[in-house]
Amino acid sequence: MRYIFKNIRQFICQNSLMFVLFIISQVFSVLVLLLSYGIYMNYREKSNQDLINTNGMYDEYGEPISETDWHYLMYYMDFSNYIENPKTFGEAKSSYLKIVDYLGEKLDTLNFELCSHKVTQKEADALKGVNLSGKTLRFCYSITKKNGEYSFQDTNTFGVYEKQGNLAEGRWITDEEIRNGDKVCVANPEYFASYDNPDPDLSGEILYDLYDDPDIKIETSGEDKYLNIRGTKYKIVGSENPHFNDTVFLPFFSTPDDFYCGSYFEIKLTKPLTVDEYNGFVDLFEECFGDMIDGDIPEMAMVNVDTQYFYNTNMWISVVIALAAAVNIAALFKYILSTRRKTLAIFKLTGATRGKIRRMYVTEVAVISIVVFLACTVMFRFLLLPTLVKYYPYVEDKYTLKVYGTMFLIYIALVIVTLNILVARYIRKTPVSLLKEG
Amino acid sequence: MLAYIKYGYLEFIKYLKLNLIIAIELSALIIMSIFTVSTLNSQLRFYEPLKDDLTETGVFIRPEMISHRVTPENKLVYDEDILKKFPEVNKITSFNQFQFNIGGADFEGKSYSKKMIDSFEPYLEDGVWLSKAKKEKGVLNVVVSYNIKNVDVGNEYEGTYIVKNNGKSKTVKVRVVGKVRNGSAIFDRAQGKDFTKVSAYDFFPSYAVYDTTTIDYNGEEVEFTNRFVIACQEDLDEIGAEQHYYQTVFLNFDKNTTDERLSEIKETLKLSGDVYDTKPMKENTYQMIGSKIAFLLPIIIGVLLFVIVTTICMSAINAKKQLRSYGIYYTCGSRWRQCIMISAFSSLITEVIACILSALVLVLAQSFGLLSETVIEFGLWQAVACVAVLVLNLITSVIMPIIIIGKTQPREIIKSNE
Repeated sequence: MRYIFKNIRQFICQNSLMFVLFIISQVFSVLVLLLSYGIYMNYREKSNQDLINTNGMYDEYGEPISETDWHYLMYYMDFSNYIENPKTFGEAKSSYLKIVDYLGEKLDTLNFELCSHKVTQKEADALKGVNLSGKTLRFCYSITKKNGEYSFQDTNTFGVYEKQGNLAEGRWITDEEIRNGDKVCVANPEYFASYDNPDPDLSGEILYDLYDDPDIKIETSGEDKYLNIRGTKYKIVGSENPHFNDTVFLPFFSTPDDFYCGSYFEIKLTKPLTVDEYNGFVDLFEECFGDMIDGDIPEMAMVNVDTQYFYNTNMWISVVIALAAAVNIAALFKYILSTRRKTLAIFKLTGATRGKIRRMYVTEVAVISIVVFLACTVMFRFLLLPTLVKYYPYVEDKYTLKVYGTMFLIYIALVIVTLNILVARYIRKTPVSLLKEG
Repeated sequence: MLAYIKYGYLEFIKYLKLNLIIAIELSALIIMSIFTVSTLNSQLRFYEPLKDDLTETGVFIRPEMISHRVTPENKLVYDEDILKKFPEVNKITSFNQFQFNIGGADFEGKSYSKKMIDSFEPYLEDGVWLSKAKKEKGVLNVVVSYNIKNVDVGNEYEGTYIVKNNGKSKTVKVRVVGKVRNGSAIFDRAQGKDFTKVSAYDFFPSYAVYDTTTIDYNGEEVEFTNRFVIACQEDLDEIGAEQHYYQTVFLNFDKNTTDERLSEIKETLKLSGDVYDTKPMKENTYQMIGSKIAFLLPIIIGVLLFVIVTTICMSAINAKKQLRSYGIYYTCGSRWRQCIMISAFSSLITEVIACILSALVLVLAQSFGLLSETVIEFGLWQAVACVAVLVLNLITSVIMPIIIIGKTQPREIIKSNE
């Protein structure tokens, strides 16, 4: 051990210039290591946060359609396979809730529709391109999560409906009723009254086929009206404005399991998703509803390629600096070893083994490296990092004790391994050749 | 001179291993300087193409496209409309749109001037940019968006366009020379709402496109193609294709245009759309460049310091190693000045090897695709940076022996243990 400190003292006294250059090279290596990590983490965080918001939808004048910015994660998701691969509500119920749970606070509303029966291709074709306002039977749902609880009342959809004055009579279903699975609903009994008298302007045959669901009836009991869906009675607590009389609102948890998922599925957000969150959502969505969509889910807009390339280049710069610094340190230490060749020859002649000599020199450099690393870390943490944060805002909380510890271990390990190889090769020389060198 | 070269070479051979390590270090520094300058250049990528358009007296117009908002005589659609009305205009840079169809599929056509094509190249997924593609008579070269299925780079297809002032369709042979990488910036309309705050960078949005989707919008089914082709405005003029301004026109005027006439022109242009001076855009662009360079400052300073430290280290090691030789040369009649010249020539040989090594590494890296997703390129400024590194190395290899030798006597140098 004493030879280690003696060597260090000799190094400083006899080769001050080289010692200073050695320390400076080490300082650079450590700072490059720390800075590269920061640049990389800043880029990762930035690219995760940055979300190009357009789905590429523009109006006829080339202006982005505002409704299709990040607020709408999915705008009328086309469940085009919902006929071929129908999913019952019983099968899909937990999936809807999983998606709500996943999106958490960033979810404004998840809106979807169900059908009371399995829709046939003929019915689906009839629905397309025909304005059946007032003649379609839609079961609409809207879910969100507020303060850790599922909310159905406090959704944009219901809020909008309220503002628009959609309710002609009565009230909306409460969250408590929905969570309790109470058998209540909002529906327009007048719609069902006209059920037997469809609009003669529209194709009567198609309508009869479409709406021929004898299992859904209106029943009256005293002053109360009920919607009877296949034997289950839902008390009508409110009825919609006649303009929207095609929509029925049933509580989520008391909707019959044998209803089918419809073609409409929409997610509105309160905040943009990060790239990671979006990719996680896509995986979850494909797991839950993948077989109901035709084709792939729309891709997330790529991170700006220019930014990506820019950061890739910066990482390459860091790699080159790190390599050059390592070669620098190795070259400097090789020079130092060459100045100690006579001492080394004497050590060998007096019986010191190669292993001892190697450990001595490597420990000497390791001691210097540890001191340099600690000093650089302190300098970086308290002097450089506050300035760096101005340029790389996401780095501040990335430098934890664990990160510093990991970098320390990586750095010391690299120094020890490299110098072990360097020293081992050098001390293989015989004392005679060492003494003859000049 | 020959003696310096001879002894410089001999010194190089004598300490071959060390000099090769120094050459490797030097090539790392050269590569690093190329990377750093490329990074800096990349920040100016969107300024260069519009540099000549953002002038003190220039004007930017967003011609009104909605018919009922502009009278026919004030509608600006083509360059001729502007040049006829305002002969003072000496330069027009515009982003144009045209209708195009390849193999029955509609595309959004974007056309750039040749100058724009030569000065700006988006990142490509495949193929080459229009400026590098071989031109053939009767064939229209185009670059397409990445999401085009069944259209391959290098192949020829039949394209259909609308003939100018005619409204009829005509076919032309189309060669797809490249595909734009998804997410790459392309020259396009600025999406900013406040055009007083817009800079050159806003005219190069990152364009991400998706597959065709059929959307129910306002009760109508609309097919959004989200796929585009880019062509050269001059090439489209050659085939007589209809292409019109699309909300982006930069105008510059003759130097001898008076201020009163300029004001008059701007007032007239206001009848055709929104008009903005380019001077604030230029200032905004400079601010943007400043902030981008400031962002790079820690890296630039770090690289500079590292280059200086490394060249000093290498020169110091070299000088220390060659000290004994200098002592012998001095004893045999040379002066320190001549010893330093020998050191300089030895350093020069190392630099030549370093240059060859760095060129080799970069070529290999390029061929293995390691540099494909970076902004690294080699141009004038990169060459200047390389020369600067080499000159710095040469200077330190001359200065370090002077510092190390100092007032030391040659006898002491030869007698020393080192």
